[in-house]
Amino acid sequence: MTAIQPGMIPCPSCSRPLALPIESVLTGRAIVCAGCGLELTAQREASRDAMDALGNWYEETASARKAAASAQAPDTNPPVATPPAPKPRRRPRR
Amino acid sequence: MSDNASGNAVATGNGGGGDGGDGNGGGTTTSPTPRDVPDPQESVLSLAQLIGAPIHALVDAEAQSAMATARFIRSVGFTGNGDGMGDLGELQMARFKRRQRHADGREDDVEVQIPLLSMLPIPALQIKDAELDYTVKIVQTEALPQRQAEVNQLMATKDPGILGGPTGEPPATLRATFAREQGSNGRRSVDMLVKMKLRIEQADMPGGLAQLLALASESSSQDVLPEGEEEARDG
Repeated sequence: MTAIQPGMIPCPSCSRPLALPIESVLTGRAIVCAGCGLELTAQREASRDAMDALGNWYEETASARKAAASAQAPDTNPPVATPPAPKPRRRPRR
Repeated sequence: MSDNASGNAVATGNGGGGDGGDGNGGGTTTSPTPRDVPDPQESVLSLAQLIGAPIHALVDAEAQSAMATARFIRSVGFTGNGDGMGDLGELQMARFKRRQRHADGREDDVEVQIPLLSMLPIPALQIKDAELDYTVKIVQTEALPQRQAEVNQLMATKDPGILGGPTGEPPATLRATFAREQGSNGRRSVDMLVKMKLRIEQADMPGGLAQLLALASESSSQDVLPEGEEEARDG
């Protein structure tokens, strides 16, 4: 089984590219192959060291991933032009 | 590091002075105290050193980046202690479970082992562009007569008709310092600046790393789990 790119493996059943989302691996949620419907579930107890290392990586890179995602996302809230602040009124001199 | 490490050095020669070029603009502001101004003689280097030092720093930075990548691979991808010393240990494998249905309708649980290293993006940064902008001030020129003999000897062996023959002028070296920036008020600042603009990107997968990943992926395996073991393993 040869890795296609980081986070992708060939499906053990049909060999189509299968994404391994880190969140699903960490939570033990089933990862389903779109090609053949195979369900792959992380065995968290059996691979505790690997899950610890993965969890550490996930936590330590959280802020970087968030920053990268926000940098790539289109700006949905364009800056609104703020009206100039009103000038303070002067009292007429008597 | 790739392509464009471009130093934009402008030599403002006024040879021999060695005054370092601090404030002489005749402004009305107060002069910096001697304590604030570094001794210009201390920062005078050969021009080659001045040009080479920032480039050396860039190469050092890339080396540090490569070491960080290696530490990441050790600590995440292998079972060793990850401190950069000693044995790597085994490949860190993540275990998965899947159901395998046979033609006769029988089902098995199969354990799939995948190396952790193939599940994560490996950080490998490189400097794509480096733009260095600094001004140097030549404070001293120094002839190198001892090099002249070497040059003469070298040129004597060549056909002077092709190369034009020795010029008779000995090679020289230049001693320089980073020039001070022009301040906004007409005075020269006391700061000697090197402006550096870097663009850093994820490097293409180095050949060795690609090979490592291929080897790691080849160690992925699938084994049929014995009856009843899956419940025990799953916790």
